[in-house]
Amino acid sequence: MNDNKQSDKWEMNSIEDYRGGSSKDEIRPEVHSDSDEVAFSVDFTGDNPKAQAVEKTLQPDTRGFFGKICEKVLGKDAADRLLIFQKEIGQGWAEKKVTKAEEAVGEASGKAKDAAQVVEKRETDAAKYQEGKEALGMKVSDEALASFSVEIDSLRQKQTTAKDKLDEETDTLANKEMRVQEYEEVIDGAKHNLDGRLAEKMEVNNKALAERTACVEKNRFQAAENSSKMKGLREQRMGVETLMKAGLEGAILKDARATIAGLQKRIDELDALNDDLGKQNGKIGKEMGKFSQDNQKLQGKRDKLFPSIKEKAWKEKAAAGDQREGKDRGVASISASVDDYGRVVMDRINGGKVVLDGERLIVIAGNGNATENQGEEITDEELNVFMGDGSVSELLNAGAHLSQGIIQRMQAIEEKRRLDQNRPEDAVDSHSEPAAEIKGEKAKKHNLEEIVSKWNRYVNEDMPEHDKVKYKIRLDKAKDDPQRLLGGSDAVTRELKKRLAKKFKTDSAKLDKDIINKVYNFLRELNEGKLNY
Amino acid sequence: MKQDQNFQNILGQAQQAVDDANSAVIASKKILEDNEKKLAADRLAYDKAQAKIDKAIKADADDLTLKTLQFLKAME
Repeated sequence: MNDNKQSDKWEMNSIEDYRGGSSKDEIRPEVHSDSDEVAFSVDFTGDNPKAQAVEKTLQPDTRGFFGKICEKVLGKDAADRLLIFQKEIGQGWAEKKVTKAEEAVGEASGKAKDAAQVVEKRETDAAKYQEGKEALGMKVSDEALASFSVEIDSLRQKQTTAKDKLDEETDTLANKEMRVQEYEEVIDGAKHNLDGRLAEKMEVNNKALAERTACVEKNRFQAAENSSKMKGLREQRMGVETLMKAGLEGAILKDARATIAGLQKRIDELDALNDDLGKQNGKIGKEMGKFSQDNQKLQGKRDKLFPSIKEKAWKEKAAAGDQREGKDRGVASISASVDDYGRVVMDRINGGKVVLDGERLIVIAGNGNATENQGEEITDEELNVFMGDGSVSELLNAGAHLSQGIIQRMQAIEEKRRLDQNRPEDAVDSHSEPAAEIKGEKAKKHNLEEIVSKWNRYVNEDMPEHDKVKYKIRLDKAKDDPQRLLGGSDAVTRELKKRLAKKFKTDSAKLDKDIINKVYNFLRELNEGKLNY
Repeated sequence: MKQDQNFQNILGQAQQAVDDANSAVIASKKILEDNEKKLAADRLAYDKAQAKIDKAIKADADDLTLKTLQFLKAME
């Protein structure tokens, strides 16, 4: 299966990158010009002619060093390769070169200073000699003056040479420092590029996961439908069998037997089809597992490129029971969006952002300070806020890349929501709190009858005549408990969405945007105490 | 006669259940087939998309190799 091979292929590509399309057999020995040490260089640039051309111009020791780095990155993934380049070349090797240049500057500076001192000393000596002679009433001969002049000129020339050398070494150092800075930027750019590419790969995996989730759901739905039909068929069979026991004869007995055979045939067919649907789901499930594993690996590579800036302050405060701090992280779920790198991003009420990226939850405060939590450190409440009123499938369909662990936890939250919807008393619904907090007030409790009544009156007053009937909902006296208390805003939203979805013959998640907006507006007015009908 | 009619009604209901089940059989077969077709198409698209990204990663890696060698040369 092609999909399952993808990760291997990716690894192979990575290895091919390092090998430049050659095999280990092509590792070639090289002898350093300045030592007897044998260095092995991998044919790293085999399919990269531009790089190969530059490699050929390198001095033997540099080439040997590069060969050693190539050996080191052999078989490593692209992220490791980048980090090795950064550490071994951009830092280790480059620092040695810069240190050497600094030493050269120091040496040249010393020599320039010495030369200047020598010139100064000889000039002083000449002056003293002249003064001494003149004190004795003697005149310094022209020959002596000329000798001093020649010697001092020569020393000045040496001083100039030393100064030029110092300037040259200083320029060399500045140039090397600039090159190192440029290379750091190259590495940084490459890391960001690679991170973006890996995010793209994860996005492709997430898309594949979402597509397969849809298939699995469809199969499950059909299997449930088939099971229901099988149950009906068995009941019919039992009914006919009971008839036969009562003593049928003639044509009716014949019809009854034929009917039982027909019923059994359908039961067997549906049973076999359910088996096929289950097998197909199993096969798809394996693929999904592979995609999730790939994404975990890809996320691992991305984490290696940009290790987390871990600040425990928020966690410690939260652990100390500072609930307010936790609430500060609350965000309006409707503002969640998926960015180009597959990160789920939400604006915080009090400035800054919250980002869910693979296995990481990053909170960026308004002042730019960031804190991060990973995996199990992320609470269900936080994941719940990210999901808003939607589902994990919606996030994945929007291109979000989430780790398998996070996906599973979100699915569990969805399941809990479904159970809560059917729970007779959801007044203590924990999911209701964030929505209430967003509006800065505690949600009031309403019973089902009140909500249905208020909604219908809201619709009656707020909507055009022809839409009123479409939007109105009613209590089912046989199934609904009118006194059932609904907790916070989330519970009211879910209840309304569920009923409207039924009315519009669709799923809650697929309700028209206008209807959703209408629900939110109703909820806002309800929370603001405007709906005092 | 009335009892015969009753028997016929029960058999008729059973036959109706068989007919209903038939639609589930047809729907199930169609879903299985459609899924296979969709998965095959998705796999092709997936491979294509991943290969495109891998190609871009390879190009980036080659560019980094070139720039690294240029850096090494400049630092000699």
